[in-house]
Amino acid sequence: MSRLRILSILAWANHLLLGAGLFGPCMTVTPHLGHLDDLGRWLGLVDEPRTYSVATGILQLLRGGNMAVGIVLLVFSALFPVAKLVILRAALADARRGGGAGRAHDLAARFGRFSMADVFVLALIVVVSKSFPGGTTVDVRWGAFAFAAAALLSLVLAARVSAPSRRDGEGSRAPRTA
Amino acid sequence: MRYVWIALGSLLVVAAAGAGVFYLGRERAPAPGAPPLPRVAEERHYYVLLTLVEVEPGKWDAGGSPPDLFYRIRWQGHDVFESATKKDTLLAKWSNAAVAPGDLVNGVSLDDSIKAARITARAGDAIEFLVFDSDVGFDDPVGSWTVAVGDLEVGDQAWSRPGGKVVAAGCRVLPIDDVGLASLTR
Repeated sequence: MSRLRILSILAWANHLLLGAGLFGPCMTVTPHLGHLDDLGRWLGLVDEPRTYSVATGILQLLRGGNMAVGIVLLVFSALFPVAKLVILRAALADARRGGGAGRAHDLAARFGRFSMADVFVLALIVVVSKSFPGGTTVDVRWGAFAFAAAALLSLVLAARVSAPSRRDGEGSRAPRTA
Repeated sequence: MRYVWIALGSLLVVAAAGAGVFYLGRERAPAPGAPPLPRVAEERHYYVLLTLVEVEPGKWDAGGSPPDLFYRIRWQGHDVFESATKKDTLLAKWSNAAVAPGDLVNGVSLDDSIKAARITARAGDAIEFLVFDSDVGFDDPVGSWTVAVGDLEVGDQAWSRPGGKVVAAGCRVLPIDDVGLASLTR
């Protein structure tokens, strides 16, 4: 099997992982009220545990009026990863046509540098949530791992796809010299 | 143009994967063979309350405002419980308990704070739920229905169109002996 075909299959697998990561259960928030937990739950003051996916989390933020955070998450968690995949596939399509390293290769190389931004945003949310008062817990579910795997895979793919263009010195800037 | 098709293809596959995950992970209704809630046991004591009452829209109070809803529970010929009044609503909701803020500081008796009827389950007994619209002069009946005590299920149960202008009602039955915070918080 050719290298391009393997990369192409991995790119499609990356699509599936990203879809699962965006819409699968990402985290379960279990509210607590510290030592008043039992009483609060009994009185209906403490919500039941809720599970969010990345997509429903973003929707909740946007609906709840947290536009800035919602838009940042939308860009870095949904639009940016999808854009990376589109660029990867475009670069692979260019390579299959034998067109050499084109603009898509350049973009893939550049986007690769920011590949972990989406995972960083996810990690930030989990870390911030861990410090909720009253012992409220956030459990990471499989959707978060699928999302992280999609980001990591796209990082590897971007490196593999952009590698020939760097070697050939086509479509990328010349290295800076002091 | 080629890149547009590539972008559309990527979006479609990501969306299809997401839709598949959503479909597979959605909450399903209980299977038809799922075990029903346990019925109340003979000669045991229970708390009974309505957790929710929804009434039909229509002409209620002057000025077009919705009704002020409360309910009574009648057992063995006596009104054994009357709920708090929920003002101006077509959908009233009651919780197990009402605790004043000061109770949280000074301590609260669990039994005193439970806002529910206390009954003993006996074969042949019936329990009547009566919903009213609270008015200044006279409380207007909204709907009433009777349930055989033996038909009550321990836990939450829902009734559709149980009587009068009541569209839906939710009832909670809790065994008095077992009521501790742990059982109520399940």
